[in-house]
Amino acid sequence: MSDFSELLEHKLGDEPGDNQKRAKRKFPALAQQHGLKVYEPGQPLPSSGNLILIGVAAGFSVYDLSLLDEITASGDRSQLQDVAIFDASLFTSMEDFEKFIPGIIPVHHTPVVGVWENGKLIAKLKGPDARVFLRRHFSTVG
Amino acid sequence: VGDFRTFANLRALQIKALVAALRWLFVTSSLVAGSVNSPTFASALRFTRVTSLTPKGRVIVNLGGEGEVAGVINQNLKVILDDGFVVSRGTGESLADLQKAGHTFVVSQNEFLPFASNSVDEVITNGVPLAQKGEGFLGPGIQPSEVQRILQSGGKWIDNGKTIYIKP
Repeated sequence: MSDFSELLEHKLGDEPGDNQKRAKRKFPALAQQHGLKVYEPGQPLPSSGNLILIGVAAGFSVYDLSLLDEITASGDRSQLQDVAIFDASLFTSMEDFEKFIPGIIPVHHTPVVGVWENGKLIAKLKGPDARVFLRRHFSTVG
Repeated sequence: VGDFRTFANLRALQIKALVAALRWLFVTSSLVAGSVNSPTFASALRFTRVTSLTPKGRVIVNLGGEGEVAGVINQNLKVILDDGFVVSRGTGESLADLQKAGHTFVVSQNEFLPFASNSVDEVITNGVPLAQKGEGFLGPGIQPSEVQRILQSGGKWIDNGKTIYIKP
């Protein structure tokens, strides 16, 4: 199974941008291989239990993809059952974020994170704050 | 006649020095405050040849994205002027913090980079979208055509640490 960060690798003969198009195309299948659910807007959210929805820029942010590598490589894989993911690099406007995490805009940096508890959105984070939260939650740092 | 020529040469030198100094100031610092957001303004700037900032006399430009590159000209979108925009990926520093630390920023649209054609030795991009109009949540991303325009012959485009283009 490939690492997420490999999605943006340049291949011989690539034109600038070819790697980004390839990453967008391959991201959903790779996420599923790693046990992450890919969330589409309009899909029902669980009314009980927890959900952590993570939005990354899979099409261009090697930083976000490396973070996913850290998360999926971290110890307790059962934590990933409560995680869903989406690719913000497919968005065409800032408002697209609202379809996934209401109240999150403006977004300057990815990743973005929404945390639901028993169907209620209890936290929304973006950029550096989201990275810190994810690393702590998945214990990728001491 | 000799005195007049000396005077004229001196004046010409003074004017040249003044123009060079103004250009340097304009390109390297005041753009952040002024914000280049109109195509007309940015187009006019295309003809500005950037005075080198690197010790070895090379012009290196880091385009867009989150995170600054030390010792080069960091270009970004107007959005970096927004309150709360964290520019530095590594340290979480704001634009003001980074300027205070001596980093150089230029604000412009990605479709109209404010650098003269064939004037840049190296372009760096780290984690930035190469998006066209109508794509991308922050608007158009880096345009390969603009990178190719500003690079001089033999100039390199380094994306995420890898050379992906060398201008013929």
